[in-house]
Amino acid sequence: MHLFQRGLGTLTLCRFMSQKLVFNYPISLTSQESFQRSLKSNKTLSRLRTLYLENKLQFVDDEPSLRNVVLTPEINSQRTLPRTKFPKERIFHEVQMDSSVATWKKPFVKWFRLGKSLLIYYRDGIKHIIVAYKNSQPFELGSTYREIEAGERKITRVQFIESMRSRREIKKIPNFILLSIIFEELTVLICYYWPKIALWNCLNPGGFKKITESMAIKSILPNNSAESKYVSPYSLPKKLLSSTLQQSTVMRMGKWKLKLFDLLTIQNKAVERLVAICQYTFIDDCLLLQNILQKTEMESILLGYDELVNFIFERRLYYGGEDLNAMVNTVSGREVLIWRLFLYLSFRFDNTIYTYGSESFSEKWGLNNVTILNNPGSTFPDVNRKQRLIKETDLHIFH
Amino acid sequence: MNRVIIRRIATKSTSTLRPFHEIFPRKRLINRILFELDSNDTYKTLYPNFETLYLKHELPSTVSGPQLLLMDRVLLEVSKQQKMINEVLMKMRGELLELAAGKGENDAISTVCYNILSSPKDDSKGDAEDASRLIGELVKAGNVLTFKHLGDLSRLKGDINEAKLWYDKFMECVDQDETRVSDVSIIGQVLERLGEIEFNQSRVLGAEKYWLDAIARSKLEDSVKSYFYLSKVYLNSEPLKSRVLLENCATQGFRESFKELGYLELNYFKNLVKANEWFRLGMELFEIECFFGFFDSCYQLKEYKSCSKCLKSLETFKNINESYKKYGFRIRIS
Repeated sequence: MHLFQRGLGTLTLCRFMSQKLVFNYPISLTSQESFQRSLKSNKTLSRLRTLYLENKLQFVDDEPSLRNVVLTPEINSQRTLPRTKFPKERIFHEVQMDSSVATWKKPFVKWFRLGKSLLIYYRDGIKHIIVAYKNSQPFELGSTYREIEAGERKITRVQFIESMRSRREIKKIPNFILLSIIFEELTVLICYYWPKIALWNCLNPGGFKKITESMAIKSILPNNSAESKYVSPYSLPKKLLSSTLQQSTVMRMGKWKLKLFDLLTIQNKAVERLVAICQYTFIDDCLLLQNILQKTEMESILLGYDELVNFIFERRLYYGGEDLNAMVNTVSGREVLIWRLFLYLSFRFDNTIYTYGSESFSEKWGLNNVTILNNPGSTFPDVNRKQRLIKETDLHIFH
Repeated sequence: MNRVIIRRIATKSTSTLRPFHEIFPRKRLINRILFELDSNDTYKTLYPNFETLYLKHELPSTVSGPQLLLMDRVLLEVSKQQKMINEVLMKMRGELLELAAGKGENDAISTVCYNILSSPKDDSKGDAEDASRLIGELVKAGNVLTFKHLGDLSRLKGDINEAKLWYDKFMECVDQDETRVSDVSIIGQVLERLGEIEFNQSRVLGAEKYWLDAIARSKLEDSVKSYFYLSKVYLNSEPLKSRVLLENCATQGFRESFKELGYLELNYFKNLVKANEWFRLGMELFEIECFFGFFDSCYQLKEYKSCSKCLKSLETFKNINESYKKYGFRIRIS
């Protein structure tokens, strides 16, 4: 009768929601000593760190020509994600080294090949979304959440994310094709200035940066406070609910829709969208973590840079001014992102049944607890960006 | 088959009995039940039989077996719709079943045998042997209700695997021909139990399917437990669905549903007024947890007078029922 007990457990947690929950303390980064203490108490964090140090969990370049290994197919879906590097330098270099092209022609060929590669990139992007849509089955978030929590649904992460991403992007295709027909080569420029028009996997690093900048956390959110407690999605103030939904990176809700719901006093629709976001995040996190922990027992797991960037972006674990694509392509920047990924997952899933613990996710956090949505899982003396970066690198977690 | 054990209930002299019309439900209710059962008999034809049975504990031999079973069904439906057990009507049901068994009605024989085997007494060893033999004969004859009873008996013994086998056999027969079962609510019961078995073996998805099937194939009042189980399964993933299911349970007066609904409204949906109302209803059924919930909701609604009254009631309970003492710490916290 474990699930009945789980159900009752959830209610019990909700009942005492005003109290602090056990095991829910964020990982302390205020000093080396406090961090070492957190590392000892949070077994998931130390496990992930060990896997990374032992090279069982590797992060590799998303550009196929720059790596000689194959990304783990169960967790990576490159075809539904944008690339992290703009190919300009690579193409220019290739033309420069190409002896078959006459020197006087090279400047023109460089730009021609770049333009051609962009058009191919867009064409492939549309094709990939259609293929992913056709090859994937739709997932109902509520039932998938239930089945994964009960441990009865055996799906891979790639099946889930491809289905969700392709179903989100497929709606953009008619507009995007129409735009390409009308504006032809100017589409590239339009996509640069209005990147949200483009399909997600047709974005270039410049457009991606614009989107990340517009959605970055600019101020301290109340749910990012150090002490976690239970907050039901139905108890969120209207303003906070609207802003959270408008800025969501996963299932955004438009301003006009929110206003309409408000006008018709059907607030439930908006709240249910927030619940869906919570459930989507849980399923994705859980599948990724389970894959990492279970698969690494047999072989190494290889995660692409694009997946890492997308993960950080969807959970909004970055600050204004940070260029995620640039960061992932430098050693120190990449370590910061990996560090954030580990902190986030360890905070959410430590001592749960998915990390060989004893509680289910709902038991640990309560029913759709919104305090943990976009919660970085760490405490800082100040949420100042510079201090955060200094603190993360100063801790030398990977050395 | 006629050698069924007939056990007469203790009889009272007719002079001390209450008039039957005071005990028996009104004509309107009986006619409605007969209409739902799609029967050709009416209140007018059945009432004299019921009255004779009540007064003399026997019926004229002209009353046929199917008619006896119909009378039993009527009494069963009466207790279901009134949501209470009338001892006199229950005794009459027992008598009706025994009479029907005496007339060779297989369903009645199966039920009487099940009653004997499910609550064995020291002085009824011979009865139990006879009942076992009869059950064996009924299985050979392919009586569907006997499969269900055998499943129930195995479940009582704790043999879950055997119970599942009998229940599966029952469902197999019913799926082929639903008319083989006179009471459709039995199908719901079997599906509910199959769900429980699946759930105990940690197969939530399988259990969910059975319970969904149970609520689809039987009426709400016959499958309240399935509604409640499903609400528990959906609680963490689909609280809206869970709330609807619990509300359905509450309409049938299912005691456990009130506290669940109250806490769901109080802590998740943040509807304090509704939560307060659910807890109030639960308190009327003396559900102890509802008192705590009621206290919390009143406190949040700033109805301090009600809080104080609730606390006083709880302190009174502490002295009445020993088991409530364990909640003492909570009262002090409040």
